This record gives sequence, C-alpha cells and structure tokens, in this order.
Amino acid sequence: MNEFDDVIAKLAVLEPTKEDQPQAADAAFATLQQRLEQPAAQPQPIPWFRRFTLMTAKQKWTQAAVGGVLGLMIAFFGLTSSGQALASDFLGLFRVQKFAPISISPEALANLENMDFEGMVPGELVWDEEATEPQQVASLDEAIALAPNAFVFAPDLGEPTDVAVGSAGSGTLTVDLAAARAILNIAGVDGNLLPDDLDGSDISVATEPGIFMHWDEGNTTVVQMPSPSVSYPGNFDPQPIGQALLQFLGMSEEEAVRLSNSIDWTSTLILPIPSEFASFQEVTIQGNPGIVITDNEGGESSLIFESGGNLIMMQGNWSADELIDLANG
Amino acid sequence: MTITIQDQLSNGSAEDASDGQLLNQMHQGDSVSFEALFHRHYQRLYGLVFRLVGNRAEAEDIVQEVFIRLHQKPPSDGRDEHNVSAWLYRVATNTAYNAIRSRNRLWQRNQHLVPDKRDGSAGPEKAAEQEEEAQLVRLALAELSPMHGQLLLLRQLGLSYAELAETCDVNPNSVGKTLSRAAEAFREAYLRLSAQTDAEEHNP
Repeated sequence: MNEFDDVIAKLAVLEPTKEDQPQAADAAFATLQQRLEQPAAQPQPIPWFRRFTLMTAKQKWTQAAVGGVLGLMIAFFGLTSSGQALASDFLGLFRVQKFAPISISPEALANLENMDFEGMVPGELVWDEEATEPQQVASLDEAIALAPNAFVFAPDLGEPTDVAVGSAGSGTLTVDLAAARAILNIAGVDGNLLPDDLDGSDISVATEPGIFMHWDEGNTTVVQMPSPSVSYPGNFDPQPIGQALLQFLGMSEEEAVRLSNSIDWTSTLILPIPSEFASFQEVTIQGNPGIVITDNEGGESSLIFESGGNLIMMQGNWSADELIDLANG
Repeated sequence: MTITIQDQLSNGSAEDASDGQLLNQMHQGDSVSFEALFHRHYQRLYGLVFRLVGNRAEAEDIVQEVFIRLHQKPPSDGRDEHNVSAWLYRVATNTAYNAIRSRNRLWQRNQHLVPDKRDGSAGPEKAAEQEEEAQLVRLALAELSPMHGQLLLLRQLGLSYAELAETCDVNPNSVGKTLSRAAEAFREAYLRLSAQTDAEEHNP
C-alpha cells in the first residue's frame, strides 16, 4: 500500500456506522421545509446602503468600514471587532488616519458577501473578548461614562432619541494560507500573490467601546469610537497582501500594483464603495479628512471621518451637502 | 408541449435534468427543483459532513443549513450551467470546518474536564480505541485547508478524479497533484498529532 492509499485507508475510520445513518431524505426535506417556513430563516433582502448602516448598528464596525490593507484584511478575514493592549511580540500596528475610497463592481461586492455567506474563513479566529450588541443607555452622559474615549462629536440636532454603548472586543486570526489563497482563487485572483510566510501569522484586532446615537430627525445615526488597532508580526509586508486584496475587490493587476505601492498601509482605511449603488467624494470635516458617500437613488448619505484618533460615522436622510454642514457645525 | 422539472419529478425523469437546469428553475421560483437538488445531494453531503464532525445530529443540522443557504440565495454567476455541486460541497465543508475548529478550541481549553475514555467506562476497549483514532484523524483533517480536506474525504467516499474536478471546481489536470499534496499534509499532521498524543500518554 502506498502512502496515498494509506491516508485514504485511515480516513475510513470516519465512515458513519449503522447508528450514524441520517434520517431518510424525505423526512429530512420535511424538516427543512419547516425551518424555511420560520420567518427568521428568510431574511428580506437589504439594500446595500441600509446594510452599511445595519452593520454599523450591529457593531460590525470594522467589517463595514475599516480598510487599509489590514482593515481590509479584517473584512477579508471576517474579523468584526476587538480591544486590549498589544502583545509584546507584535511589532506592527495599524490605526486609521486617512481614507482611500475605491469603487467596486457588483461582482466584487458579491465576492465580499459570498465569502461571509459561504462560511469562508482564511484561518482560525479566536476571540479573547467578543464584542456584544450595543446596549441602550439612558443618556449621552451615561454613555460617555461607560465609553470615555469614544465621544468627540455630536451634530446640532438636540438630544438624541436613542443612545447605546457597544462593548470592547479583541481577537486574533491565525492565517491559514491555503484557505486564504483558495478564497482569492475563487474570486479569480492568483492566490500566490499572498507570500508563503503569511501562513500561521497572527493578526490581532482590538476595539474600544463605541457610542451609538440616533435622532428621529432625518433618521440620523452617529457612531463613534477610537480607531480599532490591528497588530501584526514585524516581518509582515502589507504591500503584496494589499495588492491581492485590491484585486479581490475588482481592480486590475496594474491598478492594484500602482495603488498598493502608493498607499501607507499602516494608517489608510480602504472603503470599498459599490459604484452601482453609491458615489463618493473626499471632504474635510472640522479640518480632518473624510469621505461622504451618497446613495445613487438619492435621499441618503453617509459620512466617515477621523478626529483625534477616533473614527466617526454619520448617516441619515440628508443630501451630502446637508450632512457635511451638520458635521461641520 | 413544454415539459417542466415538476413533470420530470412526477414521472421520475428529473434525474435527467442537470444541476444547472435545476438551479435555473429554482431562480424562476420552482420549489420542486430545489427538492430535486436536495434529494440528489443529501446523502453524499451528509457523508462528507459526518466524516468531519463525527456526530449525526450536528451533521444533519449542517446539511440543512447548507440547503437553507441555497434556498435563500442560490448561487448565480451569469453562466447557464452554474456548478451547483461545487457550491454545495464548498459551503458544507466550510461550515463543517468552522464547527470542528471551534469545537477543537473548546476541547483544548476544557480538556481537563473531559472524562478519559480510556479508563474503561466508555465501553469495549476496541470501540474506545476506534473513537480515539477517529478523533485523531479529525484533528489532523482540521489542520488542512478546507479544500484539501474536502478532496481527501470525497476521494475516500469513492469519487473519481473527474467527479472530484467537477465537485471541487478544480482543474481536471491538477486533481492528482492536489490530492497528493493534501495527502502529504494530512500525513504530516497525523504523525505529529499522534506523536503528541503518545507523549501525553507517557507523561500525563
């Protein structure tokens, strides 16, 4: 018996026994139909723009917004939150200071969504502290007491209707290179763009508590929190990974090489904007860089900017100019 | 006269419809095509997932979850003949891998709480040994990429190289090479984990 046959023979120990046989297909299908009839099993399709808000509201802040090569890796690698002191063996650090919006095609958006939907995880994710759903509090003062580093901004809309505080979180992804390459390959990108030494690398993400505010006027939501920090091994070269991820988002190889070489991957947040649904423009808010995103159907805009080490996202039924005016006070 | 998938199911000739045809019918809201896909892939998907998770209820649940996802959002990439089986097996493998990796972490954290099956209370010695071996094989599989694990298990399930190429969406010319790599990765992981287990037995 050769080594390959030996491996196949070893796997035979996993075969289901007589007791392990599944229920008959007809009965299984009946069970499935019952599950499909439950309302929770059939979520309504959510427009992209609303989904952006929803992800934010559910504290999937990093997945929704944090880019840069490492921020994008968070989206790519499925990390959604994190928040503790950096371990001493991590030498590199990413924090958001500026933004780079990138138009993506419907196909690239579908790649991002399918990755999550199909359970593709390019490594092993271990939560040290998993962020919880934001908890409603009685007032902004209470929120600030619970999340003292989060609050830097409130638009001139009076007292918010709802205030909530999201918890801190932290987690580490140990990269499985084969799985990461497979994800790229499925998207039609050469998985070998990812360097061999990425395998087994630990990438840690930490977030501090954030504050969520909502006003009925303009259905306005503001989310703010200290910039999530992403730490990674010192020998980690973000450039080729950035190139791979930009290609994953639909860029040509030439464009991805050019952009990945010009971006400061330690501080730039990449914002993938589906061009089919929204347009964007770079703006300055209170002297800080930001991006305003406008729904192509009109009626909704979203703004993200950095201020004093914090990320602020604001969204509502406002035009881009109205939103900018609100943010600038 | 147009013959629908429903007609084909009722007269037993749905076997002739390809996965892609059934998927196209599903996109047009034909629930019978969904049922046909379920019946076509249920047993084999269960066989694959059971080998990974080793638990009937969990395997059944994962297979159901896969078909719920298929129902909610059938794959579509604009081609007439989408490779549905590749999608189904990929989603099933990924979901099962997520489950076993999560369980392995839990097991590693809490292994001091798990009763030692070798103390004789778990039944006949042979059954305990077999379960121990199965656990070791699953731990080794969990260290592979999902695609490598899927290829090995489907090969063990008896799929030909051509079927593997179709089901795993890999180039038919590279199936043999990829299988060899997967087997080598499994062998390395198995031998290392086996040595670790032996060392722990001798130095508890």
